[in-house]
Amino acid sequence: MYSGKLTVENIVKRYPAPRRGDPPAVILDGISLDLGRGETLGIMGKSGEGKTTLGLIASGLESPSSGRVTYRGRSLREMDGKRRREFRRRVQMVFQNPEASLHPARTVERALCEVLDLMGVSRSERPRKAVEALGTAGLSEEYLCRLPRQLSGGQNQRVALARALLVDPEFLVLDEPAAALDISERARLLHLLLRLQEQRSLGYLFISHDSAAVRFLSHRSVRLESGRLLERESAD
Amino acid sequence: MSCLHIENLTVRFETRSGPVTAVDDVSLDHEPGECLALVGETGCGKSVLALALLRLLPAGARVQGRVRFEGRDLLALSEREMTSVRGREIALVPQNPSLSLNPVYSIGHQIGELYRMHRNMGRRPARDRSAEQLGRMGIQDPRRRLRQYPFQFSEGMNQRALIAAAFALSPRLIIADEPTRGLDETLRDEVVRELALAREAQGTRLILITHDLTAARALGDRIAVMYAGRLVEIAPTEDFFRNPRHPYSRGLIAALPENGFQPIPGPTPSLIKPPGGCRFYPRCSMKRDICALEEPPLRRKQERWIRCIREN
Amino acid sequence: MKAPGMAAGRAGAALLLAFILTAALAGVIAPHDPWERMDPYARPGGDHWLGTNDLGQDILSELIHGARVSLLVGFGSALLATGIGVLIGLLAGYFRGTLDEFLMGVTDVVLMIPRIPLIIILAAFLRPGFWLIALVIGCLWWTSTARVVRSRTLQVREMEFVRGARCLGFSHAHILASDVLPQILPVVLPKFMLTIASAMISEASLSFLGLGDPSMKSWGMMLNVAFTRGGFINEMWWWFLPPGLCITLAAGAVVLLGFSLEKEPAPDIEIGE
Repeated sequence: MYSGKLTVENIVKRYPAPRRGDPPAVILDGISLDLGRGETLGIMGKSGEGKTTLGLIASGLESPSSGRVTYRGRSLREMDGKRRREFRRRVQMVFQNPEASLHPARTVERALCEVLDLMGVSRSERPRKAVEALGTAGLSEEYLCRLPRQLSGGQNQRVALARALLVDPEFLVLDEPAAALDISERARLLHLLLRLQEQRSLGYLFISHDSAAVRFLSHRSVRLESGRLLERESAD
Repeated sequence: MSCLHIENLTVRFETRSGPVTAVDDVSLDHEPGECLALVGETGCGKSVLALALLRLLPAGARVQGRVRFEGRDLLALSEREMTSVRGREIALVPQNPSLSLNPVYSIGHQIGELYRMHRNMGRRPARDRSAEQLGRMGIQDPRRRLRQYPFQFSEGMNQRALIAAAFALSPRLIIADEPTRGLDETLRDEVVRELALAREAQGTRLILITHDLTAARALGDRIAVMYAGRLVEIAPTEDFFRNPRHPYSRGLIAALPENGFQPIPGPTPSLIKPPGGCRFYPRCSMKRDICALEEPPLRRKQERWIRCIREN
Repeated sequence: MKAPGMAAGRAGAALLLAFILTAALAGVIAPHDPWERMDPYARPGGDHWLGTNDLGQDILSELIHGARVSLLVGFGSALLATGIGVLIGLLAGYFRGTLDEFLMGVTDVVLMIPRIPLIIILAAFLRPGFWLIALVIGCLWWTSTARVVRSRTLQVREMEFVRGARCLGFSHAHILASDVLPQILPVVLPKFMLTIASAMISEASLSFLGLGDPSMKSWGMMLNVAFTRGGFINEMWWWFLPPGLCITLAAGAVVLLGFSLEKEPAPDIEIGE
């Protein structure tokens, strides 16, 4: 019943107060969510309300002050090294700023081959798999030798997505992936995400302030305001 | 009533990868009293155009053509004359509000500076006028806010402070460069509202440069679409949205959320080796063989201008 | 004050190169063996371009050989100091938490240690040698580098591509070496240069105070000789002016180079390709 589910339970995140004597800033105040494969949960809310922090906690890149993140029924904190590495693979994050998502001095090919190396793919196989990965993101072979600054925002995001897909994840935490993109690139990225979800049964935690994009992609959505979740609505 | 006439404006840069023609022979008339929305995606040349008008391009840029404003050619003015034009007659609201404000001076100081420099006002009257402007932009308790610094303002408030600064000297023309970029929906609507109100109150003309079609529709009287450095369509706003003619315009409209986010296929164009023939050819859904060979001119049809072979 | 640009940096580099070559080819360039005793108190001219000291040793040869010691101590200790600083800064900034607090605590303690007095005390108890000086300088001069590296690491760590790498499951060692370190180097390089300058001057000061290694001829030792054996009193400028000038020029060259390496990011215009 818990197979393949990602949940956060009662997550609280506090930051120490900027000035002595002030109470700590509570960014997240008891958030609980669950996400299954093949579905999209949209997280809406104004900028700076803690959506990104929630995303970082859900993908294990930051620790909550209290509460737990569970994957397949097991709490992240209790996982041993092997399970934790498994978690890392299965839950990937795509970030908002396309220019910063990739190492600025590395070509697309190197960025992809790095990950293939990590996955234990043999050197002879790597070029082919790299081209394959680009293909899933709708990019042709000629992009292999480009640097991030030679690509548009949308293209950078797609390369970052292709990279994340190489490790065969089950869940993607998408932090405002289309916010910095032009109209046509945003459309393209959203359709790509939809197609990938259908093909690979991916679960998306879709963080965005763009309500139209959330409606387009999400099966359910919630709103984060003042550290709490306001309403659960299903976007039907 | 004054007009802005852009005649055959071309801007070229030398880059590491070769010469880039960012703006290619653009001619545009900005009628008195109107808001012109210059629309296009990253790399189409619209921001370069805006900077070219105000002569704010970096040293390596080569600019050709003429920009006639109030009977003068802005491109022919000396730097000194241009300095008095900027801010006073033509103001720019730049992108990236937090980066465009000096972090070590208070907001009040930066807005007040305009009054002190250009109008020779004393500190107190400058402060009063600045507070008034901020208030007009919907900022509460403007006097207290004047003493604060950009880092104490949110992104949206910094944007409003910049708009307030632009309107401060009641210039004839304001160029707003992507004022809604990176803002969430609520903020975006607010900024659009502020711009509309300020424009009405002061009768200033506006050139809006944006890739945000919603903002363009809300503020623009006319829409001009740029692609790969060239103008491809100019039309009155409602006509444009109801019936876009150029295939790229259609693609943009189809990519809007209300139309299902339909993507435009194909890669973004390269400005270094632009394809011969129509620049939109590789991505056009209505192309014909001749489109690959010949680039059509910008032709007028009633109230519109269109660059497409289908219209000839 | 306008920061020195590329031209100043190139001048510094050229000067430094000149000193390095001199030090490397000392045996070939120097007209005499600096330890050989000839006519004492000779004035500059003829056989001895910079004269001789009270023991009849050729000052020019001393100067040329002295470059070796001064540069070696300078580079050696700076290398050690920078190495320690980068390591501590990286670990503190990347792993944060308890490790960070501990390492920063250590940094604060080391900062409180008065450096020159410590060396003086060590020199009083141990046999002074220029290796010792280099070691002590290396072990004390790392704090400022550590702080700067830590700051930058904290920034880089939060960059999306680093987060992405963590997400994909790259090991910490890989991320540190491959993603973080290259971003740190532009900050470390200028600091390294400045540490060299500081180390050279420190060695010169210590040698001048008589705490240096008398068996090695460094520029600082030459100043010490000038002070203790009658060069200053007798106004024999060729004893102290040349080494003093060399110390200043060498340190200055390194500093110019260091400042020119502190690059400012160039403003970029959006020209999509």
